[in-house]
Amino acid sequence: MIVDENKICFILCVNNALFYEECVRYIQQLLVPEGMQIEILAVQEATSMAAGYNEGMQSSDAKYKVYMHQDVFIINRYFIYDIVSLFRKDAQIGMIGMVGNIAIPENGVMWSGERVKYGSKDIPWEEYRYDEKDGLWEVECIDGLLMATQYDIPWREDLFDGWDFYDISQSCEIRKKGYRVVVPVQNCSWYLHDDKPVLQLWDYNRYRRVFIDNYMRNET
Amino acid sequence: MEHLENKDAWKDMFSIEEMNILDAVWEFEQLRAVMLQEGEEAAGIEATLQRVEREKAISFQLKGVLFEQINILLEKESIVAWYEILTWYQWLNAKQLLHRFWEFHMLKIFLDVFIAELKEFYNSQTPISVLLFHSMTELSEVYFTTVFLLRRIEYGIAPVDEIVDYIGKYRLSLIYIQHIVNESKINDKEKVIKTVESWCFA
Repeated sequence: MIVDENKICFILCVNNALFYEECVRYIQQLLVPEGMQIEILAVQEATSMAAGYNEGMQSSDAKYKVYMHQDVFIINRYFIYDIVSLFRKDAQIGMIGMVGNIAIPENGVMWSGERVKYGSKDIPWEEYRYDEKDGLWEVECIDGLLMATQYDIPWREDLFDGWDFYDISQSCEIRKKGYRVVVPVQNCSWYLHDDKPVLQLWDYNRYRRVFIDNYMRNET
Repeated sequence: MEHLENKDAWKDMFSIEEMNILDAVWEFEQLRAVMLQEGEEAAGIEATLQRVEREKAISFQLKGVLFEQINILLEKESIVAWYEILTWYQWLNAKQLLHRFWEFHMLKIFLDVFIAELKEFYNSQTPISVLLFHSMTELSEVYFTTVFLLRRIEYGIAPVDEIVDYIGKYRLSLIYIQHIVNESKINDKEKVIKTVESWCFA
């Protein structure tokens, strides 16, 4: 497949039409750079997040892909401008996230460590525009709520056949290829995550063990 | 909770659905007692994750049977039925058996709305809007649709007609709107409430 350098594809694993339609509504509000094309791919009935993302990845020729949850609403209307600009300026950036960890905690639980996202200012969304001088956080992993890439690297559906740890695993896969994983310093959040007030952790521990066995032990 | 060994003795007091809930609660508490004996009461992330893993099957069982009973009660469209839902919620929540499901957090918001609307009903005979919902699925749809519509006001992507029509269709009260705004991820709560007030409740 020939890669389309002027195309960005939003890929979502969808199991709720109400959330998906709302998510798309916010994507459709985004400003699009001239000559750039947008594609939105809803993967229905995915057997796992990694499998769904692989399916989406293989069906799009877009150079830039944004893998995101259906309950994430992008508020930064310059999102596409900002993401594409960061990727084009630095070919070493493999993946951009919205929240990340500078170091992966030893227990593999991303949210047990210090997470980075914000800058030192708090600007109202109406007035906000990201400036590259705001900078980037250099991170080891990012949260799966939104993961933007400029290179297609397969998701480890062989290891993660559920809904957990696909994100931290993909962060490691990208870094293994020698690319950087970064989070823009946000002086106003780029998104709103309408996640539920409880974490669905039913299978989290199982996949945590898989992650530790396959990544953490190899690194030591 | 003591197990209902002789179910025949209880069947005149409880429906099948209620008995199913009581059975699930008993099983849940048995499991917790076993885990306590095994020393799994330890704190920390890893211990918590292990507990969650072991409680998965019984948690979903309880959720399923409780949904069945709540759906039966919602179908009745009555104040008494909502009181019953409140009773189930308070009893199970006190036992910390519901906190891992977002649906019960949402139900709590509707129960708060019910209580607030009930006070208004006794004061000024204003209708209780939550009585019009017939199932947990409907509660979820109405809840998220309301949140989404209200949030669009904040970010300036709100077609006014759509919001006004929706509030009219379900006869949603200002009390309901205020509760939803306060409990959901809407940053500029004052702006959203004032806007809705001027559109629908002026």
